[in-house]
Amino acid sequence: MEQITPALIDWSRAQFAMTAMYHWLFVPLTLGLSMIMGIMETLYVRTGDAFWKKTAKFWMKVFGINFAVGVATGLILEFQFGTNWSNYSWFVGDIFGAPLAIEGILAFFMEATFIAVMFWGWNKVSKGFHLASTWLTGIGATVSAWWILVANTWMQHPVGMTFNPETVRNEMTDFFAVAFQPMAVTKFFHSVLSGWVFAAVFVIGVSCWYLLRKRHVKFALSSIRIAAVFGLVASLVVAFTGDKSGYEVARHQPMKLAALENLQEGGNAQGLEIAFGIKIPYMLSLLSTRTPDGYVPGINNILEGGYVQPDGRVALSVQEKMRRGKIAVQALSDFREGQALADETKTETARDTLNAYAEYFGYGYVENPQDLVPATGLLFWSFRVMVGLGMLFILFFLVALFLGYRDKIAQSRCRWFYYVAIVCVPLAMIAGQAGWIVAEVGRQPWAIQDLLPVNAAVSSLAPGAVKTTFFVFLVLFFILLVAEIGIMLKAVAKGPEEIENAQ
Amino acid sequence: MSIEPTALIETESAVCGRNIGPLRRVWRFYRDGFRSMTFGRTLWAIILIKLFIMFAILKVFFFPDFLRHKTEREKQDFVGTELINRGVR
Repeated sequence: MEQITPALIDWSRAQFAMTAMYHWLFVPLTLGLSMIMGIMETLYVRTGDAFWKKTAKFWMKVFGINFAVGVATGLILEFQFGTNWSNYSWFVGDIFGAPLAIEGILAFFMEATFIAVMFWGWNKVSKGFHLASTWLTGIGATVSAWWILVANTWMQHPVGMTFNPETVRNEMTDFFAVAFQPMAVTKFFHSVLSGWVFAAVFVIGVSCWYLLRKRHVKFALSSIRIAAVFGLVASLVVAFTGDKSGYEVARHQPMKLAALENLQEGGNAQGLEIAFGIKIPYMLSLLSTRTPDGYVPGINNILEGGYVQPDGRVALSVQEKMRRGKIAVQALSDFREGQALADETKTETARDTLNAYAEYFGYGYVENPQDLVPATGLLFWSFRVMVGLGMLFILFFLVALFLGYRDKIAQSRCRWFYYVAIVCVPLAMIAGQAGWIVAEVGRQPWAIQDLLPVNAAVSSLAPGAVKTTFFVFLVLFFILLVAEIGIMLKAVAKGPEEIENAQ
Repeated sequence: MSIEPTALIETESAVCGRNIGPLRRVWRFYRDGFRSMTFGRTLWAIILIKLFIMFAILKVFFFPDFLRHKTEREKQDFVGTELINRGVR
C-alpha cells in the first residue's frame, strides 16, 4: 500500500473540519434571520406600521454583518477538495458537481441579486417588490443549503449512480434519487430548521440584553414574541426530523448509531442511555426500529456480522466485506490492465466482477476492522449535548412565549430570564456544532459511506504543508471571527434607532 | 404583491426629470447604495480583504489544484493508479 501517513490524514481532516465548522457558525444565523426579518417586514407591509419597518431593518443589519463575514468561507472547502482530497473529487464525479453547480448558479446569484434590493431598495422600489426581495434573499440562502445538503447526504448514503471503471468516476443515473432521497429531505429540514432555532435564540438573547438595560423595550418585546413562536415551531420540527434522522441512520449507517450510543454489544429491546448509565428502557430499539423489542446491533455485532438487517439481508462480517473490497479493487486493476492490453475478455470479466462487488469497494482500503469504529467518546457526548440543548430550547421558547405574551417579560422580576436568554446564544451555537460532529465524525473513516475511506480519498501531500495551512486558517478565521463579533456587538449596542439614523 | 423591477431608482429618475436606460438605472442603484452605506463599508472592506487573501494568496500559494494541469485521460490514469496502489494487498 502506498505510504499515506496517519499524520497526513489527520491534518487533512482537521483542516477540513475546522473550515466546515467555522462556516457553520454563520450559515445557521443567516438562514434563520432571513426568515425572521421576512416575517417582520411582512407585518410592516400588512399593517403599514413604521415600527415593524424599523424592527425589520435592525435585524437586516445584523443579518448583513453575519452574511458579510460568513460569505465565501465555504469556498475554502472547495479549494480543499481540489488540493487535499483530489482522489475523492475525481471519484465522486458529477454526483457532487451537479448539486454544487446548481447551488452556485441558481441559488447564489438569486441570493446576491435580491440582497442588494433588500438593503438599498427602501423607498426606491415598491413595498411589495422590496418584501419579495427580502423573502427571495432568504429563499435563495435556503435553496443553497438544500443542494449542499443533497451532496452531503450522498456521501452518507450514496444512491442514484454507477461506478465507471474507465473514467474511475461515479456517474449519475438517477438525478431524483440523488436530489430527493428521504435522507436528504430529512437532513435538509433538520439542518436548516436548527439554523432557525439558533436565530430565534439569538433574537431573544439580544432582545433580553436590551430589556436588561431598559432600552428599546417595545422593540425587544415584539422581537421576543415573534422569535419565540418561530423558534418553538422550528425546534419541534427539528425534534421530529431528528427522530426520523435517527431511524434512517439506524438503517443506513448502523456503525454511526452504535458509536453515538457507545453500544459495544447490541441486542433486542435496547434502552437509550441518557448519561452516566441512566437508561430509558426500550427507547433505543423504539427509535431505531419503531418497535420496542427491535434488534439494534452494537459495534462488535457490526464487526462480526450475522444479524438480520432492516432490509432482511443477513449482515456480512467486516472481514468478509474487506475480502470482497479487495476483489473489487483488484477487479479495477484487472480492468485497466485488460484495457491497456486491448484484451476484451479480461476487461469484461473484470467489469462484471467490479459490478458484483462495487458496494464493498471501499473495504478494499481497510487494513483493520477496528479502523471502521469512529471516535465513540466524542460522538457519545456530542449527541447528548445536541439533543439535550435541543430539548432545553423547546422549554426556553415555551417560557419566552408565556412571559412574552403576558408582558411579564418586561418586569424586573424576570431578570433571571434575561440572563438565561443571553447564555442560550452561545449554547445554541454549540448545539449546531455538536450536530455537525454527530453527522460528520460519525461517518468516519468514510469519505463516502462504504465506497471510499479517507485514506484512499486524501491527496499525497506532505503532512507539514497541510499542517501549515491548518494554522494559517486558524489565524485567519480567528481574526475574522473577532471582527464579526466586534462589529456585531457595536451594531447591537447602537440599537435599532441609532442604526437607522446612521443610515 | 406587485413586483416592479422598473421601479428601481424611480425617485432619482423623477428628480432628474429624464428617462434613463435600465442598465444605467441598475448601475445608479448600486452606486447610490454603496455611497449611502455607513458601517456597511467596513463590511465590504472585510469581504474584499477576505476574497483577496483567499484567491490571491491561499488559492495560488497553498491550494494548487492537484489534477488541474492534467488532461482528462491523465486524471483518470492518475486517480486509477492511486486507487489501485492504495488498496490493501
